[in-house]
Amino acid sequence: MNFLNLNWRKVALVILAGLLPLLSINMEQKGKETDWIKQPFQLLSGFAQDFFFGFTHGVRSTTAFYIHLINIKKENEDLRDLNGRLKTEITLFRELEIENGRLRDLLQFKQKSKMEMVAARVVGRDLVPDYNTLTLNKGLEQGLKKGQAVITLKGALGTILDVDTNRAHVMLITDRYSVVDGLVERTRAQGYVEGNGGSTSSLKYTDRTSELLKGDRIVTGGLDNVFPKGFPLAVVEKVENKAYSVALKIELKPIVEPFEVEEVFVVVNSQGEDFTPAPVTTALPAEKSETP
Amino acid sequence: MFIGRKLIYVFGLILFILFLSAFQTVFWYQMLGFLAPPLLWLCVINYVILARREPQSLLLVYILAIAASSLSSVGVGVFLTVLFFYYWIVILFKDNFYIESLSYFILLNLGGATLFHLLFFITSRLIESHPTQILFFDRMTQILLTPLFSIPLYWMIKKWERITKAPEIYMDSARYEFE
Repeated sequence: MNFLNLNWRKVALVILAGLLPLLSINMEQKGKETDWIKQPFQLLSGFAQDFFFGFTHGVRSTTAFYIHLINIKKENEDLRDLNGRLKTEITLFRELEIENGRLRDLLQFKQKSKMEMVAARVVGRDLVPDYNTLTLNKGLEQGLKKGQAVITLKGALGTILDVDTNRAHVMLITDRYSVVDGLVERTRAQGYVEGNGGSTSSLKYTDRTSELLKGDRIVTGGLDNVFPKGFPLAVVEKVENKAYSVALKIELKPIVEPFEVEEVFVVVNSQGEDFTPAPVTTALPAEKSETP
Repeated sequence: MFIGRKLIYVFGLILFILFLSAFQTVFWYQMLGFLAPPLLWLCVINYVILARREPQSLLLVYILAIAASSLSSVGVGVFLTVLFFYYWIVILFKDNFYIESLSYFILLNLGGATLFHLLFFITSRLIESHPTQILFFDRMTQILLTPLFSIPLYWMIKKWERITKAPEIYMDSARYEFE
């Protein structure tokens, strides 16, 4: 009974395939919001899209975060470098400022004083700790001689022990061989400041009747013609008045901390400089002076 | 040729001890002024005493000591007196107890620094008009630091010996070889 000898199954499939788009167009034209044929897939595709959106977001944000981290790391390194450089510069500036201040003070001191002085830098200390000496970067060429006084702005440091062409050793007032003529600033009691070999000195041959107190300042006596008169030397640390001794036992702490000194003055010629403060005088009525 | 090498060797040691003394008195002072430096120069002296034939090495010790003392106010007489006794005590110690090792050198520097300070203190008390003080902290610091710094110095001196190729002036007895 098959006149055209057709495969009806194939024909039905073709018709169905032709109708499906038509049906779909018809459905669209009816204004339905979603295509019924897509609906089962839309749900799945939504899940898939959500998944990939999330995944992409994750990857992007991770990548961005990583790239950002790399940038941050680099930036951090750059900033650290910069910070380090700036810190170094600040430290250098501070050092320079401090040095500048010190040098300005030294210059002012030199300008105000009538002493003839040579400025020098401390470069080293003694090889053996038994000798309290410092090495200066100036010597014979700059006019330094053995026995000259070495001072700082705060006080006396010592005397030149030996001198080479461009180098000099300073014997500190704490050295066991050092002896400097001293004077108690307040009472004007005299004595000799002798080094103890450590970090202290002693005031010797001071009359036991002298009234000395802890904290009294000892200044140079000026009798040795090495140091200018009245220049600070040390401070009284301890006073012992022993019954059997004719003199007081006085321990002194030097005003200048020797191992912190960087710049010094070597007194080439003190020119009779006297740092003793002028006595406070009360106003007296002026007297007429009669000239013969 | 032999004398030339010997002179170069000695000259190198003098330069080395001066370098070490300058390091000790200037660099250490500028950087760590409050802390007593190790006796670097003494390590060189100890090496010479150990590795060279006595009593000829005493002369070398004297030369090195005089070179080092140029950076100090120490009297040469006092310094050499101390080192004379130091030298013979170390020789006596070496003759009775000797191990070929770096540890021995470190040990010797520990003992040597102590001995040097002790001898200096005694000599100062006997000879000097104003004898030295105990200076406990400074001396202890030096005694403890010296052996530490002797380790790199040991290698440096050995290197110098190899550079100058001065095997002829090594100790001729195996007992004295310091390898």
